[in-house]
Amino acid sequence: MTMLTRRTVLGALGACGLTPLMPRLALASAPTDRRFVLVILRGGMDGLAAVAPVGDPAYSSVRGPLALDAGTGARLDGTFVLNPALGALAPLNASGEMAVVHATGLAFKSRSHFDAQNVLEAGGLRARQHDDGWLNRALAAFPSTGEAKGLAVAPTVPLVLMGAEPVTSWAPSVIPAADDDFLMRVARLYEADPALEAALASAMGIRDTAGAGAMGGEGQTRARNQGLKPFATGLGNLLASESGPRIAVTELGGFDSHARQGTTSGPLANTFAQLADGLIALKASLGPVWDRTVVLVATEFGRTVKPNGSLGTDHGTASAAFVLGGRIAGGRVYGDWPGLGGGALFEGRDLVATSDVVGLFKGVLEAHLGVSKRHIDGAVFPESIGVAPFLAPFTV
Amino acid sequence: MGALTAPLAAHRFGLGARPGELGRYGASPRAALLADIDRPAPLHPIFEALPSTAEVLALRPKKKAEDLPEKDQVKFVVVGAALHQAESAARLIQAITTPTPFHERLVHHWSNHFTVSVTNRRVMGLAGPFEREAIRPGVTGSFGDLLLASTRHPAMLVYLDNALSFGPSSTVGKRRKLGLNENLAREILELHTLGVDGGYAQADVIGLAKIITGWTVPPGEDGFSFVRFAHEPGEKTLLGKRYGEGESAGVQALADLAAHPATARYVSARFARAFVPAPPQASIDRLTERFRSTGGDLRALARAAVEDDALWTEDRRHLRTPWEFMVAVLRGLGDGAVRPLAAYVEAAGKLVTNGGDLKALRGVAGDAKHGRALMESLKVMGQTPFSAPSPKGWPDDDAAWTGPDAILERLEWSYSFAHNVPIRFSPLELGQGLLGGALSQSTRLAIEQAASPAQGLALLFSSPEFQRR
Repeated sequence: MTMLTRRTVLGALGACGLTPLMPRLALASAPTDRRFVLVILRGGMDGLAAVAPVGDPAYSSVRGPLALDAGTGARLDGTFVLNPALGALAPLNASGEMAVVHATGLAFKSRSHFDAQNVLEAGGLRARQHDDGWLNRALAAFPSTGEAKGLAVAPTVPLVLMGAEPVTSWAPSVIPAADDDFLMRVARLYEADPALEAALASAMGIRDTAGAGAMGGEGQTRARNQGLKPFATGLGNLLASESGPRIAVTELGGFDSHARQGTTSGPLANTFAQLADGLIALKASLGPVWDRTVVLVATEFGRTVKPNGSLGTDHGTASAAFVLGGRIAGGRVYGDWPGLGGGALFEGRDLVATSDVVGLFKGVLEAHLGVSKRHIDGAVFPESIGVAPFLAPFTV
Repeated sequence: MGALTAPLAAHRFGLGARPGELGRYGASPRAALLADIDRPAPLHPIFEALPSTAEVLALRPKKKAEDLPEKDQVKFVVVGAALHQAESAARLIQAITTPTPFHERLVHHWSNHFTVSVTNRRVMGLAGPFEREAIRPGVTGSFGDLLLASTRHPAMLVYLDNALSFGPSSTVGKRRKLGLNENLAREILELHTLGVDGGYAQADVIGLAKIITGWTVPPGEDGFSFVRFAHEPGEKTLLGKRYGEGESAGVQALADLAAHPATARYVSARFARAFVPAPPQASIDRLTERFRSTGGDLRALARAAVEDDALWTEDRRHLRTPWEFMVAVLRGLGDGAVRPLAAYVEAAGKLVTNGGDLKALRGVAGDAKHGRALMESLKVMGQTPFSAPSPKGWPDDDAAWTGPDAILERLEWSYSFAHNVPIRFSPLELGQGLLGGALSQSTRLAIEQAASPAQGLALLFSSPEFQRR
């Protein structure tokens, strides 16, 4: 199926330093005034690090050096604290504008990034069961106006928004820059090639000296350490517009914390901070529309409970998802906590998923966006008819 | 002995596999490569939009630059620069789409052998037509014919200053006290024919320079012209042979250089190096013998390379140049880059027809912007078409491309490009399809364990087996 993608920029993008063009998205004959943003966290986010179950008796022994102290971070309830690196979100939790859904995961158990991300975005019970994304299929429920129905704020349209329904994409003038995780993986490949290995080693040395944030050509900055914020600000501006899109997707990587992930500081904490800053920026740029917006933050799987030999974690099963918005039933941690002790772990290593994250997706479609059950079961998630829509966070 | 493999055929002799291309080589990669040069595909239609040598020369101001009002000087600079952008992007389209890549590789090789470069600004706009008209038709003909076509082409005459060379005793030379410019003669001997160790002396450089005085592109002309008033009268000597006056003496001199045994050695060695670094002497000797015994038949030379087992070795592999790397990446993804590049060609073309500011090219939007981004990346990686740093052309030894800066620029481009491509396929399957058995276990693992599809794709392009050919 061909899919329309065009770069569309609205007049409200001054903050991102782009030349505004005439708005090209249709005036709202959209069926809903409400907005939905899906934020995909790529790499398998460690839910136990983001929202730590310090109240679980097994937690500190089983997490060992990766355990947070009980007094660290904002307390979300009797069991859970929010990692201080996500501390920018604590006020949102306090005001009921954020909720956590813990111990949630895909029905399809896979520890492969590719396969799991595919199922997270395409739906289905196994990888590549669908060619298109579940959110694109959901867009079919909205009437066609000849204009794009969904917006990808990313360099390219993610699978979740790919399909027959027209979508558009926009990305700020930021070139995704090769990060340290990527270069380290390349370095491993170059162990077999002395000339390339030497050149890369030299380059890394120079790079470290030059510091973060090298300039590319034409005033475009390399995206080092900018994370989600540039995307989130533009996204909010676009969604806030009356004639803008209603449904948007963006993404953040850097969660594949296999080594030395740290607890309240370190590479994972840095990525958490980028996520939190991005979400705060999104709320700010949405302005009054925030009250009509739901943001879902989800990842393809969580990570092992016990640290591995490099003080990181390997691919796991259940993780945490976040729900944010101006009018949600927030300020709590949803989910059926399975525990970390005794025989509670999946295959002896992972947090068990006590809910299917598809339920959360169904919940936002039905309760927030008004998509019919018939359409959800018939077209969007046909293989997950048995999964009940999780409506609680959206029922204010 | 080398193993004939489809991946080597596609990547070393071809320009990098397109999806499905490995299957074409199958059990007889040699035959497929030879079919490329026996039946080369026609040029991509984009080239119909681009001007011929005569048309470019017709755009030149009739007067000398210094005699023109400044706005006309600027206009011609803009036209030249815009044409250069258009030709470069069109060349990339051709490389991406050609179904007969071995033939295209030959075009690139001989174009580099007879380098013309826009580092001399007067070459702007002429380099593309040079490759198209002087080089491309001759890559499977005789070396002598190619040498003659190259030497007579306005781009070469301008690039190496023969248009500024006058016989000291010629009419113009005497009247205006102008003399020889040795540049083209020297490079013909050093870089095109005998090679620096080919056994010529300074007197031979001067002799050849005198012989080709008058070979020029006069202002207002739309092609080569032999200008008698600039030609050095009398007899000249080159490598111990005497040559008379006139244009045909120059044609004869070039034919004699083409037939010189040192030329066979130098040209064949350079040709062998197009495929592997430091080729074994035995291979060079075989190619030299084929060149010599066929009178410089370039199709025979190409066949000899394809038939030489040692050139199929996996022990020596060139690092892909930035151009080769980008071409291989874009070929590997099919035709996706063609429309953006064509839009950029179109935008540059508008500038040529309608005039305007070069800023307009920098500010293109939509598809053209993506096309421009690809060309910018080539520039950042250090290899825009037709802009070799010296008449020697782009270096054929890898050391030039393995500096830390250069490697980092490739990795940065791999990464950002992979994050800008809609990935509806499995990067691992793509890797298997493009590299076949050449995909290493460690790269396979790295792609499988990548944190995202985009990272996996970037790792595929960055892998040693994709970086080399």
